[in-house]
Amino acid sequence: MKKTKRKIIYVLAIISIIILTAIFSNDRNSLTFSDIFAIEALAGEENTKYNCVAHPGFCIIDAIPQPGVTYKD
Amino acid sequence: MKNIFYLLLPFLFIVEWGCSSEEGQPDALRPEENSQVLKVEVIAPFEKWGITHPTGITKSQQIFAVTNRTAENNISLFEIGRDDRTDCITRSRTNGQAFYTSALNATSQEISTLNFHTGQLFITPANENGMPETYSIQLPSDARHLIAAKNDRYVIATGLYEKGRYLLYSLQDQKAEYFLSYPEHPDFPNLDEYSKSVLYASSVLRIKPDGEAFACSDMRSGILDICRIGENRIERIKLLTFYFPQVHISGSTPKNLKVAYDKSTVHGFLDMAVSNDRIYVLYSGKSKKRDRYNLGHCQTLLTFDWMGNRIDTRSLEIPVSHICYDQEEKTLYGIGYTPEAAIVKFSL
Repeated sequence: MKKTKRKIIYVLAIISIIILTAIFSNDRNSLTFSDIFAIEALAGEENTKYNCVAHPGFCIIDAIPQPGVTYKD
Repeated sequence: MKNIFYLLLPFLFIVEWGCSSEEGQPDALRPEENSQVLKVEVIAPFEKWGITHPTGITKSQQIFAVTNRTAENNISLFEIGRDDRTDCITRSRTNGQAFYTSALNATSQEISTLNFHTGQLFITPANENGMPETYSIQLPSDARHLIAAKNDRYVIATGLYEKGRYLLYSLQDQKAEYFLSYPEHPDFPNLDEYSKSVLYASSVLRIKPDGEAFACSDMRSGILDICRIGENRIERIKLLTFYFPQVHISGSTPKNLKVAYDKSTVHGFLDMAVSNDRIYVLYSGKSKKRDRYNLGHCQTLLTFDWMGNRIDTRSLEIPVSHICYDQEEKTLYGIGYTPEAAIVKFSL
């Protein structure tokens, strides 16, 4: 029983460390600039009709330009 | 023994994470370790003028113009010392308006932007008497124009062209001619001109203030094209290729052609500003895989001369998405993030 508890605590610790690493990585060292807290992230629309992700530049579908970028799935 | 394994596991995860985040950015475009950080002064948040999502900036005399993609109008004009703003080009699909515009540019006399669906180039003279009057020029209707820049003699444009990469449109005799070709991609050596035009569709184009040359950068790669404008012709000065986009291409006709970028492709030169001596290029260096929502926030500024020689590479104090050059003050302004969008001035 004690061993199982210990295992759960270790797994939770690993998950916490991974989440914290994700937040503080990406060459920036503050929560303000993290993807998770970026205002742009919240406002980012994905134009599903044309499969264009919101981004500067053009997304050309069927010879028609739309704002955004097309990524390979 | 088992406990030691559990303790080591998180460290292995961290090491793995650290190694995986090393992919991407081409070394040639990284600022050097000991390079100076370029300071920027935050002038005012865009909120002051009621602008929420600025997506382009330019300046003509004292008037700033920004593209406002989520507003009722495409362009907002304002001055630093005043709280009011003037909007122009209603967001509409009706004739004479535009749903989206691209290529916000300025000279000392006017501000221009393109309706890339119709090829209509809107021009707003920098008017000191308040309300500006916008008029338009129709670019040749036999081609799809995506980006255009104008001075008092001609319009330079690029788009989905089959006859050449650049359109030179003379305002005097309304004559259109196409010049040069799109860059080759080493992974796709047999692409036709139309396919290459789609591949390099996301460009930024700026005319040198004296009108003798222009620069065209690619947002999805490290390609910068510098060209001279001669007597009714365009000649290449230098095509700089730091790296190519990672892309997947299928199909060959305009209707079935699919150009999709790999999520690990490193985005390149997102915006540019020019003076008579220098070309200032904002470099992203980010990929969708790593920086999902901050691709447009650049922290590197490259400086070139008009012969294509790199003068320096500097890190920016705060992320910047767009820049413009002020001829009178001889400095750059831009859209910076604090993290709120704010107008910033560079200490060049």
